[in-house]
Amino acid sequence: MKRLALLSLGLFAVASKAQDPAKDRLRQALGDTELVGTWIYDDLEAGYAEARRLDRPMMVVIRCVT
Amino acid sequence: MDRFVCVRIVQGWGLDLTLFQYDWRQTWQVFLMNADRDIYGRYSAHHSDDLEALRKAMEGALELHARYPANKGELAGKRGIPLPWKRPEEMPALQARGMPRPVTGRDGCIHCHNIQEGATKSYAALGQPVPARISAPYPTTQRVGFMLDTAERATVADVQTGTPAAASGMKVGDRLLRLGGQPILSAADAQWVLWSGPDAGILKAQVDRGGRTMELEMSLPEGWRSK
Repeated sequence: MKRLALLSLGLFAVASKAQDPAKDRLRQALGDTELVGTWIYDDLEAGYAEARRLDRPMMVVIRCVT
Repeated sequence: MDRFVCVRIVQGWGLDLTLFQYDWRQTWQVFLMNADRDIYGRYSAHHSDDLEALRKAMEGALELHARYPANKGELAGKRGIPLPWKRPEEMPALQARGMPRPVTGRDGCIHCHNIQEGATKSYAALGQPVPARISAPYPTTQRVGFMLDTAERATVADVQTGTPAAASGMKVGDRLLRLGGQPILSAADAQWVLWSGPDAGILKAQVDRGGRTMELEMSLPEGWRSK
């Protein structure tokens, strides 16, 4: 479980990206305060648009909030 | 990581069930896909020691993305199978939980396991039998007789005698390239093919054995999901 926890931190500890304030509040509420970078939070449509713009594949992580 | 656009989804409400079908009993799941909603691969956190497998699955997704869209056809089976509901909130058994609403913290959402339970109960609400793939445990590859190395993309680590895998000629060390015609990036991909595949019949596998590509056929008997 330790490695799983480390991965979780690693997944979300990347560079910062401005987002909808509501998503930022959600991120804060969930304690994902180190969520940064090209991560898009809880917005698949934005992810599709960004993937198309950059011509990159997507990594979609579905993970409970609890 | 910077070669991917990364998205975190925190709740089940609104989840597109035409795409996002997986082992809903898992606590987290990764989909490697593209902007056209074509899925390259899945990854599930079955074990705490298989993170190397995630890295290798991501490498595989980059390879598939580089060949896209020429390979679009071979990815078709990775999308979800038809279900009576396109979103969890359409399931009769979940409607009692109230209307979808934004998740603002650690409450208010439905969880993956709620989707699993909701699907099971909702078939009954529709007066339909629950499909075997919904009622049975999400299949591991051991169900048909083989195990994959959790540190690799999809390398066979064990083949059990007297099973469909053994009868197909599968060997330890085989690299599973395709199952059911789908490119395989992870154990979760192999599980997906089993889950979404037939309740009985022939399942084709393509393996690399020491640099040679070989075609195998597994014969899945009736009731294999629950044996």
